[in-house]
Amino acid sequence: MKKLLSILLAVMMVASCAVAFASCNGGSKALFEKDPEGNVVIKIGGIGPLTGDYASYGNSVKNGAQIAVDQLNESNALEGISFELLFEDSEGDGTKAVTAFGKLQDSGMNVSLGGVLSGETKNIVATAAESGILVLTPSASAKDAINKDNAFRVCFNDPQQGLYAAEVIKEKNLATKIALFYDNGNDYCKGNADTFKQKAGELGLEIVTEQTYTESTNTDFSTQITAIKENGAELVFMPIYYSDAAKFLRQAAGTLENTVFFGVDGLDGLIGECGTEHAADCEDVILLTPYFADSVDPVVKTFVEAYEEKFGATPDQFAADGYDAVLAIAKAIEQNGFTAEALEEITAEDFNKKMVGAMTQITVTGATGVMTWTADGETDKDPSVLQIKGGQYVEYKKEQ
Amino acid sequence: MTLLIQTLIQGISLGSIYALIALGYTMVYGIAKMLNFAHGDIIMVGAYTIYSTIALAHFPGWLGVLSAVVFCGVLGVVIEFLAYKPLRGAPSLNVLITAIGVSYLLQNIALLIFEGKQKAMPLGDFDFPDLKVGNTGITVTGEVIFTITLTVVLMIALTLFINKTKMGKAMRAVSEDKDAARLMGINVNRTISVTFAIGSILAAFASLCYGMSYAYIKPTTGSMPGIKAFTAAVFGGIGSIPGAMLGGFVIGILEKLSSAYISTQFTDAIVFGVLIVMLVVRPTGLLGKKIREKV
Repeated sequence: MKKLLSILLAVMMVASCAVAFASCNGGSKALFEKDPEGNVVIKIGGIGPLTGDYASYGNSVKNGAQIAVDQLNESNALEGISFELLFEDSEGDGTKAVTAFGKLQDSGMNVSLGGVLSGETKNIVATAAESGILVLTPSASAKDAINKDNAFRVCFNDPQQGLYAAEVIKEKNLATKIALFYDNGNDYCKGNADTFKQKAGELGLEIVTEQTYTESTNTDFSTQITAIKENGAELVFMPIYYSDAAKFLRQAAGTLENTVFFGVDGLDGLIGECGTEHAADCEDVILLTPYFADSVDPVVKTFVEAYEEKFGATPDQFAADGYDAVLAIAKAIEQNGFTAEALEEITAEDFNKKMVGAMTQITVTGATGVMTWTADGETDKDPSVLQIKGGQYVEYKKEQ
Repeated sequence: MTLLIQTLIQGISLGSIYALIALGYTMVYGIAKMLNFAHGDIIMVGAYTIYSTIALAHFPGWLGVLSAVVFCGVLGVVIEFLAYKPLRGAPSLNVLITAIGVSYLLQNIALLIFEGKQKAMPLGDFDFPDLKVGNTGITVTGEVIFTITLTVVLMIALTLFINKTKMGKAMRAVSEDKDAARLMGINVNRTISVTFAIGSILAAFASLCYGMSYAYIKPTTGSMPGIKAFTAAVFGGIGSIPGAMLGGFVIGILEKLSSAYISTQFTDAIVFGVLIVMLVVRPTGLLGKKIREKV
């Protein structure tokens, strides 16, 4: 009887060892799948609102990323390696985004595109920190959205553009007396205004007046316009969204005649907002934006053409950000010198670590400019200075 | 000095719009003894009517305004007939809640038809030249001149209507004592309908002025001017027509002065604060009738 029991226990031990061994090895069940042609497939997982209020952002990112994936696969850019885009709908909801992240992990995601909106990205970044997977969000711009070491972004962070704006105004000698006009209750507007103020001070630009409004007082701007005029401002820096800008410009027409209006990427969309009715209002407005569809840059041109052919629409900034995120991921793989064979051997931990490590070393030429990244995840690129002329964005040239 | 004059001009212009809307509040209150909180949204309806006729149906500008005036006038009467008439004699709280309901109904219908994105007002036909006063640096925009002129003309017309016509007399009588007026053979229901029509027509003109000054509209466009105009009506003494005019101008000027000299952030707090002070010191408003307590 005793003998029988000991045999039984021994069998159980062996069995449990086998189970333990199997589970240890389970993690390294092939990290990458292979496509029918025998290429190693890198799965890129994107999350964003494909339905609901912010659906246009999510769909743009998804489509832009898809264009990059298609181009990489067609040109066989990395030998023996192909890409696949998995995209989950978050409806713009932070909780749903985390669920979607789990789902993507189960589907074998190798690199994450984080989220499209800042809020959801923050949640995803917090979850992704556990596995250390590379998170490269195309468009989450809030400063604290990528507060972990493995998280990076393609777009500028919110207040970054204020710095560039001050530099451009100084460099191009657009004005010395500047008025600030922004929505005091909006983080994007206020953040940009604050960094602008600080940088303008350093550069010796004089801010003659600071005029603000809030969401509940965004109808009547006559007081602010009078004050801007009274203080003799030569340029109005307005880091605001295009809908408010259209109203402001309409009311300023006739009063602020020789003033330069200067904004950042929130003004993208102003031409459509002014429409034919008020087209004259937005004429000559200058804005700073990393991407514009009419650019003659070859990278932008190929991207825009491919996008228009596939989706029948002109890609916006979000689409360009999605495109560039995928390009950056491909570049990071290239930087590591990963071959198909090497990838079959690698563990998930190693792969993630190497991908994150490569981010600070690569230089990517994308649709939104030439980008490099710092260790805190921010990108460094020069935005284009555009001016609205005849209802079109053109590269800004100083009038003689 | 330039700033002060410029601010006062802007204040009078804004006040004109408030006064036009406030007239609707005060007339309806004076005659039907109810607060028609849907009145502010009539401006929004007027603005969208102008937008539809000019931008979507490509009619000339004057026809856009005419259709807004007609549509708002009819809408005012229809709202009164459907929503308020069945409640005549009901507690005033019921009517008040109904009015708030109508307000939301109008906003949501607009949201359904025109969506939430703001629309540019197609008022190219009403682009008047700006007036520059010598070399003082004062600019009076064409919209401001038009708004103030239109308001003055409408106010004179309204005053003449109230004082010189038979219907005006009937309105004054109903406002004085509804039951006695009925006994004198005045058709009270018709008088109330006419009051709603006139109030809504004034709101349609206000929507024209609003569209000219601010150029962009959305479904909630009417609510803030509506609340400010209501404040103006109470400030001037609700039920009093000259009171509403005066109240509108005072609130408009006050709003502009406080935003120019104190803070654009605190403007609303200051305006409503003044209203509270007014109600404490003089509960019947500037020109309101003193209510005699019957003993």
